[in-house]
Amino acid sequence: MNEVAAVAYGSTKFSDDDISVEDILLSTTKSLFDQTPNLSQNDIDTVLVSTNENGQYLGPILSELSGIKPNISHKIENLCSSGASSIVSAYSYIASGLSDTVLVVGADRYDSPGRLLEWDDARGEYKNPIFWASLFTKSYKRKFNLSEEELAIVSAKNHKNAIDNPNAYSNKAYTIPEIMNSKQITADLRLLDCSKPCTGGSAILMTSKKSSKKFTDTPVWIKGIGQKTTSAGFTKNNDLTELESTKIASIDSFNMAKMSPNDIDVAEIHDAFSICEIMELEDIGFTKKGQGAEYVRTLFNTEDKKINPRGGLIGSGHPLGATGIAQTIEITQQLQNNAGKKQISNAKSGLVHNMSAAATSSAVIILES
Amino acid sequence: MNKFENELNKGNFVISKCQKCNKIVWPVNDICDNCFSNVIWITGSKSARIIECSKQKNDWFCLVETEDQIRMLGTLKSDNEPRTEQRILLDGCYFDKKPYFMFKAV
Repeated sequence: MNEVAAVAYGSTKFSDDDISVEDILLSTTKSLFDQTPNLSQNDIDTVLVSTNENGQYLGPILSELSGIKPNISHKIENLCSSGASSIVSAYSYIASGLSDTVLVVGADRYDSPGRLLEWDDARGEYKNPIFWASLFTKSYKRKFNLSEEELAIVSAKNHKNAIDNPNAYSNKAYTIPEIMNSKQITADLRLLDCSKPCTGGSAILMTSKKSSKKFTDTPVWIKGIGQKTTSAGFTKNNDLTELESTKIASIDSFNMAKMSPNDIDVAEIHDAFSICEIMELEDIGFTKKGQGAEYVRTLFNTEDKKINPRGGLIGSGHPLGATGIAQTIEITQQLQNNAGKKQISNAKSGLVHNMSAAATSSAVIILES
Repeated sequence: MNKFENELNKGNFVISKCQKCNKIVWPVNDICDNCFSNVIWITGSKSARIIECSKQKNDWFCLVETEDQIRMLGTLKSDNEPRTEQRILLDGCYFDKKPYFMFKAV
């Protein structure tokens, strides 16, 4: 298989802007071209669009709007993990030799149809993600005696990290009491425990080893990939305190990379809600079961940005189809020592975790400088 | 509107069961996810237990498992805080763009 590198990127600021997905896709692509002087349209042989938007033929439309005539071009939709799924597809195209240089562009609007999984009738009237997040939170509180304060620390940490992310939706720090007193959404969930669906785009250019040299002196290599789908419906989750698909995807990814969680210097993980970050830290293997909150408290108290340095979904916002790509861009910048104020010292290997629909599916990508 | 939705609107809770391997197919579907045979429609059990519960405003919402071993989210009428493993009964259902399941304490 060919080795695959992330070599360039572009982004919009995440916002509440009422603009079309086509416009977001194009402005994101322009951002990538603006930052990549040696790149021309003729270099790109595949264009992948990651979005939950219902618009037709968005891959070829973005290609035409950008003056690209790729061999392969199509849309990828997988709810909140559309971005990571697109990057895995790009990896597969390049690794297999079907493509050499792939442009992956993700975009969604604040009102993306991907916010709700209409199909899942077992959720009854409770189709909004706040309901599964509430049940995860309640169950975890019950099993591990999680306190409201411990939950709030996740949001405080990620909002604080987002201050140094120029593309983040939120650039405001919140105190733990402010988070604990934010609007009560359910008995187990407050407003500042939730990521916000927003408008935004992220783009990444991926190439073979041979072509990477044209675009960067510091390619970042994809070393491990794990994906798992356990179901589509939330009610198939056997244990509400565990993310089974994340556990399996993580093990597969570490096996492929021949690494362990101890080898990871920096990670972007899918904190759609505060409870998710705590559970993911445990299920990816960064800490033992029941110790995720303590792990987050230590990060917060020591101002260690190892987990979600760009602010995660809670701090940065969550433009669904762009999120997994934004996470991968952050890790790429970290491994290039190009993350500005967010930089983790001497980061050599990083991890991206992106998931969908109450972790009924997860993707884990491991990268290395 | 499919059989499941039609029956919900009559207040009937029906589920799909494979006519060949007898597996309950949930969420409902016309074809079995185990052996791809056609299903028959049966009346679902109304007896359930609470897996987990939370509250929005004055309404409890619960993940429940019925005696058919299928799980769903529904509303629970209760003056007291529900307990996990508590026995409850499906007290009503209807369909209005999405299914509504209402439970009551036994």
